[in-house]
Amino acid sequence: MEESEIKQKLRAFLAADDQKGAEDFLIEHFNDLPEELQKDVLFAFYSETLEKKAAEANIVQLQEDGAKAIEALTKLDTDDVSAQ
Amino acid sequence: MGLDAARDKQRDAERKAEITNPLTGEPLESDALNKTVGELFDKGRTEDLFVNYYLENQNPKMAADIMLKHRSGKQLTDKEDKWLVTAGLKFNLLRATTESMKEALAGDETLDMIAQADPRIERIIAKHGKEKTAKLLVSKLDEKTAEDPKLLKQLIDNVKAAQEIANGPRARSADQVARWTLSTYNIPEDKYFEAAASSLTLKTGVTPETRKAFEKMVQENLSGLALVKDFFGFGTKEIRKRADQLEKRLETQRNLLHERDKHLAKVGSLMRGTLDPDINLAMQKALFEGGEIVHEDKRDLKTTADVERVAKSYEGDELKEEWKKSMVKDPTMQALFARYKNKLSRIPQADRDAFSERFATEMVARQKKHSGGGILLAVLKFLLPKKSDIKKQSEDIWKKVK
Repeated sequence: MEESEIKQKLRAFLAADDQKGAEDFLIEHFNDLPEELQKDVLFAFYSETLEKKAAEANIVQLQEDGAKAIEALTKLDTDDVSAQ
Repeated sequence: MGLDAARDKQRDAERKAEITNPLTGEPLESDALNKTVGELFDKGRTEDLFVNYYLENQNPKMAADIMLKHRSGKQLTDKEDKWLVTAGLKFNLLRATTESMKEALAGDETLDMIAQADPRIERIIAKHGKEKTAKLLVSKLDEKTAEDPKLLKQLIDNVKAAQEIANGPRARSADQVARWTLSTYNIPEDKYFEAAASSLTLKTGVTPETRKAFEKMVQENLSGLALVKDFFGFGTKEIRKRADQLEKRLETQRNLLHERDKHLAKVGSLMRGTLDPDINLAMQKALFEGGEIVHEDKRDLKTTADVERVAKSYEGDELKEEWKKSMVKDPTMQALFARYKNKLSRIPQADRDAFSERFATEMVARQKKHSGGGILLAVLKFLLPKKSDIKKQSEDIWKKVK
């Protein structure tokens, strides 16, 4: 597929406000894309997925810390405060 | 001073430099560290990364001036020479660090993890092959980190975090622990959750009021996060120490218990928030963006229409308008206008070429400022004219001026 044809196709997706269609087209014709575009598309997906996964990991850490904090705060009642 | 003399100065500086991997602190051993400025201009991939990705993003104007002199064999000024040598050293360190991180960023294990999480990448690997996909990714990572050196650490941090939860058990068990903790310690429901339940209609029919209420809730959860970190970040012993300090400040045991309950309620709210998909997602976003709820998306490419609009701004009459504006702002051109009494057609070819180079550099620097999620930026970049195309268009405009 010629570069001009790819541009034409992408312009058509933009005109139709069809981002998902553009995405599918880029994946489906990945081997026909110029190398620069291949790299950009791949990196867009890669960084998006990494950010999503890292954000999920933040929440997991939060849950683990929170559980320990609740346990420790509750213990203050039985171990420390009530003993006074 | 020319490139040869710069090479000697750089070698001296390198001998004195203590070079370690900024992430691990271990000594870096890489051929990339020993390249002189002269060797960086290898007319190949290294020069491409150094000039077009690294230097142009450090200081586009300085980079353009140096490249013009380099191509025409002119001497650099002392200031340019110093800047170039320093940039060379930093670039070498960045290249060596990036090299040492390639396995972590785009090795088999990472690529498998990403493909498992993202069907789009899985489809690309199926079409293109894993080895070729990894090669493309590494090449892109070289360019992206040369453009933005801070990105390297950010990517590594993200890979590490993603790998920690990639296989699921930790994430699933954290959810279970959160649920178990809340039920075991009988953390009371409060009004916060009633409000949350009534306003969680984010996917459809979101009113500004609903969104405001929702953002407030997420913000409250984040203050819970600060509390968790403040209280638990130092371990159980520290919590007791802090409780003791608190007790000294408070007069009665009742006050201490009241304080503790307030903390429990806050942490409990936070934990419940993580179990709700919508709040969880908003918290992820907020945590990722530095703990602030971002009300305004600063990226200029939010929709396909944005991509089309921006692409058109670099074409035809719109580009010609930019060319005129750039010329009016350009001090060198101002001086030439005065010398040739505003007769553009009398301006010598060499000066025209120099302006075309500056204009193309300025436009490319502007192109790099666009940002957008998903494939929007990739599509825009593909549609935008390259630096050589802009120079050609500038030369065409010159031919028509009177």
